[in-house]
Amino acid sequence: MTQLLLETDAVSKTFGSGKNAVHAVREVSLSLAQGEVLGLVGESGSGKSTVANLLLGIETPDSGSISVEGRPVGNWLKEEPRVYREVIQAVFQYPIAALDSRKRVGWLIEEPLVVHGRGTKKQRVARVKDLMSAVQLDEELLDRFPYELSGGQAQRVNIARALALEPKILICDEPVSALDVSVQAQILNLLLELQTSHQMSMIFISHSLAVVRHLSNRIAVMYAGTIVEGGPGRDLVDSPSHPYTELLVQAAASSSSNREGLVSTISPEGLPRSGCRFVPRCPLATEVCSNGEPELVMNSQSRSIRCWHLDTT
Amino acid sequence: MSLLKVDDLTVYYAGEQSPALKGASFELDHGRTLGVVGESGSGKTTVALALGGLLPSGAKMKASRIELGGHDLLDISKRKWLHLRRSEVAFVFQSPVDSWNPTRVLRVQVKDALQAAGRSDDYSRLVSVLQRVGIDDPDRALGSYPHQLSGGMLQRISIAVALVHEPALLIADEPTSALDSTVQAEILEILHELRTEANLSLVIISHDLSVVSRLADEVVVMYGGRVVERGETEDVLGLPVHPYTRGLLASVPKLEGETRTPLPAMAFGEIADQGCVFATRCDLREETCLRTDPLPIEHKSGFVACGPGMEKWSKERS
Repeated sequence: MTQLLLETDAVSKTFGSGKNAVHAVREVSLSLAQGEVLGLVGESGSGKSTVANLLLGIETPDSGSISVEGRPVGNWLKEEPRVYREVIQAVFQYPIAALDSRKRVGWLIEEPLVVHGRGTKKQRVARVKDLMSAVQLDEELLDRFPYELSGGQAQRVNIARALALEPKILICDEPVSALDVSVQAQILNLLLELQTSHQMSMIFISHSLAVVRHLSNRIAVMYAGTIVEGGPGRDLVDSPSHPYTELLVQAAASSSSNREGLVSTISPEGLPRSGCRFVPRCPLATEVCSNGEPELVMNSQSRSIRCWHLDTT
Repeated sequence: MSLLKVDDLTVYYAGEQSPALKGASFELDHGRTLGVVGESGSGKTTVALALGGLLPSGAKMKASRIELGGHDLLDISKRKWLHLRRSEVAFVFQSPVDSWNPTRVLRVQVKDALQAAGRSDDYSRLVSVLQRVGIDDPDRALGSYPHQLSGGMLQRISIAVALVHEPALLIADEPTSALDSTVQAEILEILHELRTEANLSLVIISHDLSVVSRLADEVVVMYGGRVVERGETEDVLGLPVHPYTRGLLASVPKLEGETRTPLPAMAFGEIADQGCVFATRCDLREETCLRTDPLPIEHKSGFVACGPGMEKWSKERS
C-alpha cells in the first residue's frame, strides 16, 4: 500500500470575526500519497489558496490537524521550522513578483541552499548550474535580474528555487495561469518531468479544470471552502457527479458549437450561511438542501461527493 | 457592409527598431465578431490601441487604409478621433479591478465617465443596461466601492458603461482573462447576446483560444507583430494551416484524451528580424524562410502567411 505523505483532518480557517467572518476553509480533509499529484480546482474564493497556505505554514488552522510523514505540522513548525521547509516547497502564480527584484538569478537559486547551510560555496555554485539545467534555463541568465526575464524564464527560476532543497512535496498554486499558452505547455511539461523523475508528491492548484486534469492523479473540487467532490482525475472530469463539477466541466468545454446556454446565472450576492452553499446556483436544489449541509460521502468508485441528491446525480 | 476596414497597418513605438505591428489587414462587418489571438508581444493589444487612437505619444502609425463606419481614420483630426471614440467605439479592458479607482464609489466614477463623454443623460439608461448584463440590484452595485464587488461584477459594470451609448464597435482586450472560468463563461455569453441584440460589432483580443473560439466569427492569428493566419473561426481553429496556429492549438491541455503525458509544446525562440518572424521556432522551416518574408497565400475565406505550412496542409488532405 502506498504510503501517505501528507494528511489533513477536518482543517478549518476563518478570517475576521462576527458578521464579517469569512470561512475560507471548512473541515477540509485531504491526503497525498508518495509520488502522487493531487489537483485542487475551484473558483476564486473557494479556499484553494488558503489550503496551500495552511499546508505551507503561512497560515495556522483554527481547528483540525495537518500531518506530514505522520508528524503533526503545528509542532514541527514550532520545533524545527527549517526541517519542515526542506520537506515542503512551493511555486506561486506571478513568477516575476515572486522573485526579489534586486537579486540576480544565480543568487536567487542559491539562496535556499545558503539559508539551509548546504555545501560550500563551490558546491553550491555547481548545484545552481545543475538546477538551472534541470529546469532548462540557459546559464547565460545567471547574472540577470528578474525584470530581465520572460514570465516563463522567471517561473523556471522559481521552480529551481523550490527544488534546490529536494523537497518531498511541491505545492504549485496557479503556476501557469499568468503565462502565455505556448509557455504554459513548456512549464507543465517541465513540472510533470521533474515530478516523475524525482518521485515527488505534488499539490497542484488551478482554476482551470483542463490544466488540473492534465497533471493530476486525483482531483478535489472545492466550493465555498469545502471539498464538494473528489476522485481519480480523468474519471471525475469524464463523469462529474456533483452539480458544481458539472458546471466546471461545461464552462471549460471550449468548442464553438456549444456557445449557447453555457451556465445558469450566478448570484454573486454572498453565499448561504447554512445548508449546502451551492444552492443558489444549483439546478437540483430542493428544500432539503437549504436545511443542512450534506456530508462528504464516499460512493463506490473511490469517488466522494457532498450532495443531498447523490442518487439522482 | 463593412464597419471596419484596415489595410496594411504598421505601428512603431518610440525608440523601437522593429515594428510592433507590421502590415496587418482585416475587415469587420456589422454585427460580426473578430477574434485576435496571439501571445505577449504578438501585437494584439497594439491593434486595439491603434483602432482607438490610443497609441502612446511618439508611436508612429501608417496604413494604406483605416476606415470605421465610413470615416477615414487616417486623416482625421484629434478632436474627431475623440468624437468617434465617444460615439462609435467603446473599450473593455483586462483587469476589472484595476480599471476603477479604489477610493471612490462606482456611481461617482460612472457619472464622471459619462460626463467626460458628454453623455450625462445616459445615466438613467445605464441602470437598465446594468440589469441587462446581470446586475440585479444596480443601485446597490453603483453605491459600492470597487473592492466590495467581485471581478465579474466589476467587468459587467465596465461592459454596461461601454455599451450605454450604443457604440457600433466594442473592442474587448482580454475581457475575461482575470476572471474565473464559470464567470468567464457568463461574461462571454453576455457579450454574445448583446452583439445579436444591439447589432454590435465586436473585436475580441485574447491569448486564450477557447475565448476566441466561443465568440468570434472570424479569427486573426498574430505572431511577432504579423498576422500569420486569418479566416473564419471554424477554418482557422478547426483546420489550422500555419505552424504557429497548429502549435498553439496542440499545446493546450484538453478535457479529453491522455493525461500526464508531455504536451506538444512549441520550441523556444526569439522573434526573427529577417525572413519569417516564426522561423526560429518553426518545425517546417526551410532555407527561404530565414531570408524572405512569407507572402500571404489565399486560403478558404482568408489567408495563411506560410508556404511550407500550406503544402503540408494540402498533402494531409489529399
